[in-house]
Amino acid sequence: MEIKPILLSLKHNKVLSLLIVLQVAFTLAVVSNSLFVTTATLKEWNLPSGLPHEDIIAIYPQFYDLTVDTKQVVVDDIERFNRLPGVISSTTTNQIPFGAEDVTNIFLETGDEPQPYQTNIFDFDVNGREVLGLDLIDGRDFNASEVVRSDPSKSDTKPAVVLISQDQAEALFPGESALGKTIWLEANAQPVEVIGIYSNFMNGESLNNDGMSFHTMIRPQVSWQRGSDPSYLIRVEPGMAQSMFDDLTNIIYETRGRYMYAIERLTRTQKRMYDGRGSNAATFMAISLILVLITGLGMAGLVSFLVNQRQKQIGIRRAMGATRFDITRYFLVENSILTWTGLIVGGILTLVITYVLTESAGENILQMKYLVMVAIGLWIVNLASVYFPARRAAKVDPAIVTRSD
Amino acid sequence: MLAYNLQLAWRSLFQRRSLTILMIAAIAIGLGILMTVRTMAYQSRQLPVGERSHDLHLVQMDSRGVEGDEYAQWFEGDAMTYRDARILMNANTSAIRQTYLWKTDVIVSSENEDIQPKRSRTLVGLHNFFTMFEAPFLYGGAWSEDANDNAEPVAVISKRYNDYFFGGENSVGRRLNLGTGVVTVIGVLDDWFLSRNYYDMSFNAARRDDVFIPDSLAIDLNLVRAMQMGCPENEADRASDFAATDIQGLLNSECAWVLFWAELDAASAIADYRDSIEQHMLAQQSFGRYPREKLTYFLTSVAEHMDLVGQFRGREAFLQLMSNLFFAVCLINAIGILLAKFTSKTREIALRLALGARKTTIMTQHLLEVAIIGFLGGCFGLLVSYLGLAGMRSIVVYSSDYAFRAEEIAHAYRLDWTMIGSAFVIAIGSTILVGLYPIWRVCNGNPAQQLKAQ
Repeated sequence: MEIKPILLSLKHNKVLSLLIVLQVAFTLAVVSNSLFVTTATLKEWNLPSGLPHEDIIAIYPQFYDLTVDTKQVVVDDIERFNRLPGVISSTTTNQIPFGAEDVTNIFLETGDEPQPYQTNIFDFDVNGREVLGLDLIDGRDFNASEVVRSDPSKSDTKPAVVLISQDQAEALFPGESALGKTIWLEANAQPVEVIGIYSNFMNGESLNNDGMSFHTMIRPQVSWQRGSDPSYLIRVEPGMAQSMFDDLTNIIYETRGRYMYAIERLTRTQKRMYDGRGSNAATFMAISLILVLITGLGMAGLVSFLVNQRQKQIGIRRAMGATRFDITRYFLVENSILTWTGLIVGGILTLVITYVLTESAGENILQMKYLVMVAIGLWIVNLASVYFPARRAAKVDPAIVTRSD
Repeated sequence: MLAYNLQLAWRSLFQRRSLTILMIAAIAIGLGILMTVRTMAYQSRQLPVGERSHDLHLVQMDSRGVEGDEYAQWFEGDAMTYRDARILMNANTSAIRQTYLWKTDVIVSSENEDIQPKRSRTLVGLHNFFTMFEAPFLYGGAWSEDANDNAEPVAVISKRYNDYFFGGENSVGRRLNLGTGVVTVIGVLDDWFLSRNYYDMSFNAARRDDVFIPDSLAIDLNLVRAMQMGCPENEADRASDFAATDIQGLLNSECAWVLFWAELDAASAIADYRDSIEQHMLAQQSFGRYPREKLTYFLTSVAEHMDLVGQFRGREAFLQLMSNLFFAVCLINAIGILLAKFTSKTREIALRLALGARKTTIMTQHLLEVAIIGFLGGCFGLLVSYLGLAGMRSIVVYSSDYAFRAEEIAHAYRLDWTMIGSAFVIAIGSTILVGLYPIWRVCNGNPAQQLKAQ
């Protein structure tokens, strides 16, 4: 290969070489950092929900007339929902799957500073598990007599048993059965017994982001309190959800003195959970793609310029017996040398930027394998963009040497 | 001479047309993305009330017990206790105006049952809120000063609510239900442009308050306090009761939750005001309050708040960095294209030089050509950034699950003349800068050698 003559010829085209190197370096920095941020953004993205979310409706009502007998209305609501054709089951809840933001610290021991574990506690009525379509994996479900119904600001009665999810059980009691174990829902207070384990379902963004996507606990409790009225989860026959919104809304407004903040399928809650991150990631990737395109076009332009400039030189080489392939190869090798120099410079630049981003985000986003992938990808794009002008160069007629122009 | 140069430059644009187009495209795309991000940053730094942003001050006093670290920055601190707010309101200070406010969520319903209720973001404050924060009235006006204290059941509503509940008529004197209370509309606000909702410290660009009621009325109705409760340790477990039910307990507590604003228009007024706060805190100390060794308070202007809010963090900071690098790549591209374009003309230039053309003439001609390219890049770049901003806006609306309409946040994604001007400065300036080397090269070739080849 003609590495040495290429290097010599590059010395004559210092500025042009520098331009290519810089362009490749910056492109690598932008694209690979975008990819790092994108993969960090899309971490735990669109995981399986564990729920038939198409067929579950969430309703968020709110009382404003404080004279309403909330306890009775809650009982009535559930009855009215269940009478509607198409409704399979319904429950009150304090949080909605995909939107659970109330993170609770729970403990496995009492003492001065017990180690906290994080979870999302879902307060369900007796058929909550059925509404969410969760399988009971071990133990038993709670029965109606174990459900505590109260206004927590007026009553101190707390549930004595809970169900926990498979992942939660594994996190709390690795390698052993969680059944019959005691958990404290506050430091040194509220001990509960684990009576059953159910299949995983998605909690919400706050724990999902920390890799605890399915850490949940179901507590048999129906509570109403000013400022935190219970919401409802309603499981309906497949495909019926959208058509039932009006009927359900009417039930809510049958009781004056209340307001329905929202009614939606869990599909929409799930979409909302991932949308922000998804569209951020898409923005970064779109910018990167445009940039790769521009770099490719720029490279093609520069090489056509070089080919034009070197018509004569190419003609001489052809006249002296170089094959067309030799000529094409010359340009490909020359460009590869420049590209790889750029990739090394760009790699260093990327590491610097990633370091700064990591410092400010407090999370290491560097992934060497992506850096290498982007580098090789850019090299291929550059080879492709050089290939066409280089082939044109190979078609230069050797007879050109004999002409003065 | 200039006209002649311009003519030559213009003609030269059309030689090797594809290269010209490529270069304009590269600059337009790079600039478009750069300006999209810059405009977002610029708009988020905008001061919401112009010069008065420097006069309106938030007052915070650290009323906690001895627990916890000292607050070093205003944004670490809590709001103000209701007691302090009341005392300061009645104190004789150097402020032009003072007011305090808090927020609540209330269900607003009409006497007409066909109109579905709405949950409204409601501002609770005093009569001078509207003058202090420049809220424009369409009908009626603010409540009287007496209503601040005697729980008169009146409300000012937004134009949006007036349209929804009263079909846009003058609704002054009509009734609305706030929760279970009944109020009379006393004023209707006109469209009120706020770049961000700064007075409630939410800095939200889209959501606006729809109902405004006197403090005494809200306390009378025991409306939920939708505020952060900065409670000292011994009252921390009562905070949620304070917010939802126990209003008397809250008013007497050391929990800081109301936002207190003072309008101070001169350095001396600020200094005097600081004295008043210190005196107030010392006086309160004699009643056993303010137990901390160091008395901490903050007096910060809206401009200072915006300084912090306008700082780009996370996604935006990353976009900013990337868009700069992106533009750099596009400019490097442009250098290559210019080199290619001009080198094909070396012979022509050599001939002109040999015939006695002056170097400066040729340089000017090429500079003009590059400037025209920069100008065209700027035009198309603005188009790209217009589309980019519209795209970013839809992304935000989409990812908020349509919680607000695109028009409501349009102002945060708007190109104004400052931005358009700076786009052209950047476009023309940077293309000329990157054009310098190719121009220098083309003008300093060896004419003899170039001509010899003929």
